[in-house]
Amino acid sequence: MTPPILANWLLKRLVSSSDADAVAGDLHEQLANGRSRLWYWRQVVTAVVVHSTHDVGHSKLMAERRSRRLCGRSFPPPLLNGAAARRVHVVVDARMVWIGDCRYHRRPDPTTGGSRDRYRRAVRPDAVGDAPRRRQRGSTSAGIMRRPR
Amino acid sequence: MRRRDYLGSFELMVLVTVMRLGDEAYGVPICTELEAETGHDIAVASVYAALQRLEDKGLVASRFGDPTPERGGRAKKFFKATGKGMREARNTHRALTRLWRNIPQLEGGTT
Repeated sequence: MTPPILANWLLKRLVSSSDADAVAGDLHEQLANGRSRLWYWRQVVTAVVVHSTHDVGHSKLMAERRSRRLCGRSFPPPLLNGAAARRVHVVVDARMVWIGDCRYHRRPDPTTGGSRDRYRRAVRPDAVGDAPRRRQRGSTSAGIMRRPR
Repeated sequence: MRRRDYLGSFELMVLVTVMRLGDEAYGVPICTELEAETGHDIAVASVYAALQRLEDKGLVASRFGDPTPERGGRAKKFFKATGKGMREARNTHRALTRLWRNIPQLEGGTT
């Protein structure tokens, strides 16, 4: 039996990279061993929810930054406790599906660069370069020296 | 003790299952074993979340196997308990055994 394409797509998009492959492989193996497609879907939904809650529980600050960048609004940290933080995270995650491969909250992968870089590349491709961000804004001494007098 | 330094009950179950399975500890057998022993449905993602926490604490180590066709060309992620993990499981077992002693309600199998 072939796994549901949409479920696999959601898994790939919303669950962290290393675990997504392992989880998808395990689900595929169990589906081949006689599990139903409904079971598969249930597992995928659980994976997305578990991943979202785990990540926000790990870093409330990250959720606050995400809400500010993507929703254009900053929630005070006390409001980001518990269910509120989860809601922000799930909404932002859902928006990221449409933005593209910008799962910047993932662990940094040494082969592809840091997670922040991946986010910037996806959201603002023009703002990403080899130089650090501060230097692009001209806030460092090097930037000031380049200004015409 | 720092927050979340101790092992949660599900983490402990996953750690012990990893130790029981030895070299064959990856998602599917861990879930199957847990389902068989607890009698509950286990979500694969919960197991991976627990394993991630255990790995963050240095109690298990992971490695990827070769991709196989029966898994849709995806690799298995194998887990193994580290020395620290073994010690932690032993200490938790001792602590629980001590706590379990002299509780009449838990002896004799009566509710």
